[in-house]
Amino acid sequence: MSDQPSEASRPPERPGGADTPRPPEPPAAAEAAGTPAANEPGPSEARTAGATPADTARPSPAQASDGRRQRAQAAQQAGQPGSPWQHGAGAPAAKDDGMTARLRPPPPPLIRPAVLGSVLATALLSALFLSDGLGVNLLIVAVPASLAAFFAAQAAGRRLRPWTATWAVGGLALLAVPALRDAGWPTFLAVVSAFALGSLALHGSRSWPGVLIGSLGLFDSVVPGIIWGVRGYAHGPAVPGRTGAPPCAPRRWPSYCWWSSEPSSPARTPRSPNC
Amino acid sequence: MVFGTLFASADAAFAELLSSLMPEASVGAGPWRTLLFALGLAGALAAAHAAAAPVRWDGLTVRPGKPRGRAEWALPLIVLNLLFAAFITLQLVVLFGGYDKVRDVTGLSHAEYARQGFWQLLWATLLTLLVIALALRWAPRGGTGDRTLVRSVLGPLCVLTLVVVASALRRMDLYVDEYGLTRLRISVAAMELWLGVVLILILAAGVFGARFLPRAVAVSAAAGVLAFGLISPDGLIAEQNVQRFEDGRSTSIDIDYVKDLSADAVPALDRLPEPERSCALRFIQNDVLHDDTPWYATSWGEARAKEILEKRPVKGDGSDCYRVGREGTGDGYEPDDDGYDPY
Repeated sequence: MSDQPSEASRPPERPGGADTPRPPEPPAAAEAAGTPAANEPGPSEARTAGATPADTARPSPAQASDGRRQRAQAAQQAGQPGSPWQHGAGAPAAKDDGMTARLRPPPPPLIRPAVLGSVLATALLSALFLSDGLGVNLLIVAVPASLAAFFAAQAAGRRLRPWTATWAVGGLALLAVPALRDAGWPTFLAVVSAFALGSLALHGSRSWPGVLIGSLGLFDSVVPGIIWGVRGYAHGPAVPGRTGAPPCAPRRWPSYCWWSSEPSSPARTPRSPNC
Repeated sequence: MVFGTLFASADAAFAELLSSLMPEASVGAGPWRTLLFALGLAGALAAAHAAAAPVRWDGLTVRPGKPRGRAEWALPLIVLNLLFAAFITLQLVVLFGGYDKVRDVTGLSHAEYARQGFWQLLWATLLTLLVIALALRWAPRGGTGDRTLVRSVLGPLCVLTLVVVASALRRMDLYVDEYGLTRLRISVAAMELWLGVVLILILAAGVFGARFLPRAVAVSAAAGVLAFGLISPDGLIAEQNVQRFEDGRSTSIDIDYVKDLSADAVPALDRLPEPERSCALRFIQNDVLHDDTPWYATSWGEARAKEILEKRPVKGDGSDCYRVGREGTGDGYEPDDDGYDPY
């Protein structure tokens, strides 16, 4: 899943601001700027179920990461001190803005029906299966939860990385412990660690504070997630051709708009506000 | 759904299978299930939102510590290194036969001397890790000379701490051999082992660069938890205690402790001879055979225990269990001790 949406929406002084507090690792800063790692705060995270299709669908992460690095370096050079628009970010008063701007991600796109469906499936399965104790039911609930995260990440343009897959496989393996063992303390530790690993998979942190808070960071996404879901459900899912609030303004789009059977010409205005 | 009901009505055995697979939907559990539904919804939405737009926690930076001067930084650490070296040298001297002197001085028997001290060494390991973290934070950062100084002081410290970890684990091993394995002992031994792994990771970070260190430590913690769960600690505890009993190393097994283990311990406890076996398995049998948890909420350990206990149930009513296993060396308490048991 490429970083293009998130890179494009970031203000130009952001890479410059990120550079100063972390001098020892400039390439890591550029990469971390676009480090999508999925966090999975849900009841379980078995992203491998969704991870394998993503793996085969994205064959060349290396080339894309090189392109990303070049873009980030170009953005950094653009933000060198001395250039006119760098002054605002370099001023001490702007430090706090820089901090929260560094932390806050770009807002997610409108929720897709696949995501809503997986979320609903997770809720149903957890109501049905989780009420009597722990066992295989955690793994059963993990599947739609990870599918929901996978579809959402795909819609936002994020890509599966080796570390993401590692965290996801680890989380899945840890959920096997309550299915195998009856003892209380190891089971509790394993479930908590599975949550932490899923959270790390979704956030993709690399530094000490990143890893520590990234393991807990799902609690930060609960309220925004609920708001996002309610808003998406009220608007109607963003599927082209469906009536409802138009998710995009009429513009030059290729030929998959439903009202036309031939490739649409750029000058042609659509009759219905669907695309 | 349609086909399921058609098949279910056509064949009674299939209907039976379906009803045993599906969770029962009783109205009485309504509020609980609604709560679970809401939790599942919120959790999945949070996961999806974090997947689509994760907060970049990496942006949180800790202000780097003020680097100290070389002598100011290195001197306390060198003293610490010498202290560790002296401790370990003493251990080696005793190990290779200086034991009689130790007995003259401290009055402890060989076995007692070899066993004690695990907790103190555990604390020493933890404090050393803290010292290493602080030392790295305040390390002089001038250039290559400074980097070499840091490595040459902290490297030996890590290695010496690893030797201390090994010594602590050996002491716990001897203690457990004598007094039996318990949940506390296996947990702290696992903790000490993990601290040793963290020290090795720090050493590797000193050689290869610290970029992967946070994630490597997280991976090691997760792997540790996974291994701890998979080795079935309750099963190991029961196994070790039963083995000590069978080998005659202890006069009797501590039934009071062992009967409180979980269902993972049943295969090992099954091997006990009769009065001990029934006394040990009594409570576990009540839990396993009479709780009617559905298939999706039962772990494999529980299922295996149920199978064993259905084939060979507990005999008797447990009224004479008070006499069995009473003289065991429970948690390391021996009546002729001065009562000092650190565990």
